Amino acid sequence: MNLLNTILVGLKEIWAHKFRSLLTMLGIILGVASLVGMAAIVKGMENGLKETMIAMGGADKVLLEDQDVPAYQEHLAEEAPGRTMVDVMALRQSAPLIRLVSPEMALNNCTVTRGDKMVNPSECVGVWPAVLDMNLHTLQHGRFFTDLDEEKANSVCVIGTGIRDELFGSPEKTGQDIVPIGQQVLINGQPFTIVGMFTRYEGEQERKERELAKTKPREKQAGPARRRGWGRGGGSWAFWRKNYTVYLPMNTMWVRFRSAAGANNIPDPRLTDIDVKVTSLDRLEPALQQARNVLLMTHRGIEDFSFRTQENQIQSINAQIRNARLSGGIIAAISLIVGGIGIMNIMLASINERIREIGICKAIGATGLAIFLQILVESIVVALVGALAGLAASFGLVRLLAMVSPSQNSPVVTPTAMVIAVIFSACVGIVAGLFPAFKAARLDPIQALRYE
Amino acid sequence: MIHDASPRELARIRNQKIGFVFQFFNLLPKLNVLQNVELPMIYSGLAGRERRERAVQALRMVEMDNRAKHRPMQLSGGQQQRTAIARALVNNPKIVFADEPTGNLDSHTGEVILELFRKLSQEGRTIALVTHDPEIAAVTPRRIEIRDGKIARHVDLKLAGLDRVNAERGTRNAEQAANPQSPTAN
Repeated sequence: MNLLNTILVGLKEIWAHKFRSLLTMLGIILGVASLVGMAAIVKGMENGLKETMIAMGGADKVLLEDQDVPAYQEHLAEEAPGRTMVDVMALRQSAPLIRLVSPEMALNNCTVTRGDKMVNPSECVGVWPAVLDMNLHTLQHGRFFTDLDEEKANSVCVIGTGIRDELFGSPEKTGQDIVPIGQQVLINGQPFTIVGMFTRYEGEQERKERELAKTKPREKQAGPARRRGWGRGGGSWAFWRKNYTVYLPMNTMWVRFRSAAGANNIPDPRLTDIDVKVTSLDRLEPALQQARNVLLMTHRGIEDFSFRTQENQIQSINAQIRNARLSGGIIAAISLIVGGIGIMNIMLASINERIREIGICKAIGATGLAIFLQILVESIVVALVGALAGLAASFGLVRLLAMVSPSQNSPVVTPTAMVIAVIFSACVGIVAGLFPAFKAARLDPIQALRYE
Repeated sequence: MIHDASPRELARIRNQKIGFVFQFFNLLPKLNVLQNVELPMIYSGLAGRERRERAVQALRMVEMDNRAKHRPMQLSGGQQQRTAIARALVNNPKIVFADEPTGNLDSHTGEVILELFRKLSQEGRTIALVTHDPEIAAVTPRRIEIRDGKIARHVDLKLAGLDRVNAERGTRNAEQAANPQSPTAN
């Protein structure tokens, strides 16, 4: 008996008992939908976390942080030099496993103004050009700082699009992409010329929403435009922070703001941050050891610094994802197994109904194997049709979840999950069909024919 | 030999050597007439086209070829039984067992079925027909009467010319066994 025929007969059997088949399949449908939906949620979560991770500078970024001196160096605490440009120079010179060193000197409580508009950037820091590579910035308009800017401490700045949106108007409001290169702004009252602007950083989901919003007509604003408080209006924190950046040349920051900003107007040469990137993640440990040695030298043995790697964070992200995937997978698997039990139940009932039919088939020469395959294929067909319906249902489920869940973690349906779900339900169909098929195949033809 | 055959061999014997005709027709209600007749050939592994040709041929033999697409439920009892006979014959079995083939039919239809069996018999097929009805039994060329599980009488019309009537343990006496086939048993 050829397979195609068997499958056709199986499909007919399903069609003949539509409602019963639907109820039988419901378990599989729900199982598959929940499996795919769960995988989609986890994938969305993963995407969101990875986007955030990259927005924060990638996995190979290491932060050099200040730290209280250890107890045994308590008496040296006064001597602790903190992080200075000396450290930066030394690292660049003597730590070959460190690929990139980016010093940052921040201006706290910074306000940027232009005309009657003002904005508080997320960070206003003096940097070296190395910061572009360090924080994975992309310059879209203009230029970044040159050596000449650095040397002459030129009053120039590079801004993120968020600053542009606040001071010059966002593309959404003005209808055009304003490029404020060459414009002057005041940073804490001092005039600076904008020489460059970054691209707009946003998550996949935000980008989609923004493009969708473009197609819709904007509602007209009644009355004068107002500031809308301090909220940042949705979106990921990491992207917001990146878009509201203002960068100055390191030397400009030093000369304009910091050289007289310490206590009693004594210059404070300490840096706010030193970020480093290692040559490769495989050699993270030796690289950090190397950096440590160099820094112990410049800090005269005082251990007032520590390293913070993103590795811990990546590990915890991965662990989270793994846990979510595992727990969701187990729940989905259980519901698939329950669906399988439903199939087995209905197959048993169905062969009981069809004992006479099986007897007839045997009387005209069906072998046990033919009957066995017939029942088994029917069970698999039920499972597979259920699985396909489940895949269709999963799209609806995912759409539903997308409406409920926060926008930056919107679920993503993955083909892998779909393939796994279908294969798993096929297996469930096989296992569920085995026993009924075996039972049917062993029926005695004479007794089966007599059965009423 | 039948006794020590495996289930698989038994299935093959049922498929190839024996055709069954039942009192209650035993057609599969889900399949149409043609598919019902094709079923034994599916189990013997014949290719689709040959299956179809032979099924149509068998249906023509029982004059059911114009009902090939009907479901058993849409047919009369006689038509169902003719379909069942076509199914029994389609694999060219050595012997056809018919268990009360007319038992569930009105007498006129039964007559048609019996006529069909007679025709098949004359074509040289072996048919073992079980019946309680002496009228039906009367039309057969060879008769074995069974009473309480034992052979009561054996009448063979082929050999009737030699008048060899076996009456071994019969309480009931022979009723004109030498009579030639009576065409209307009604």
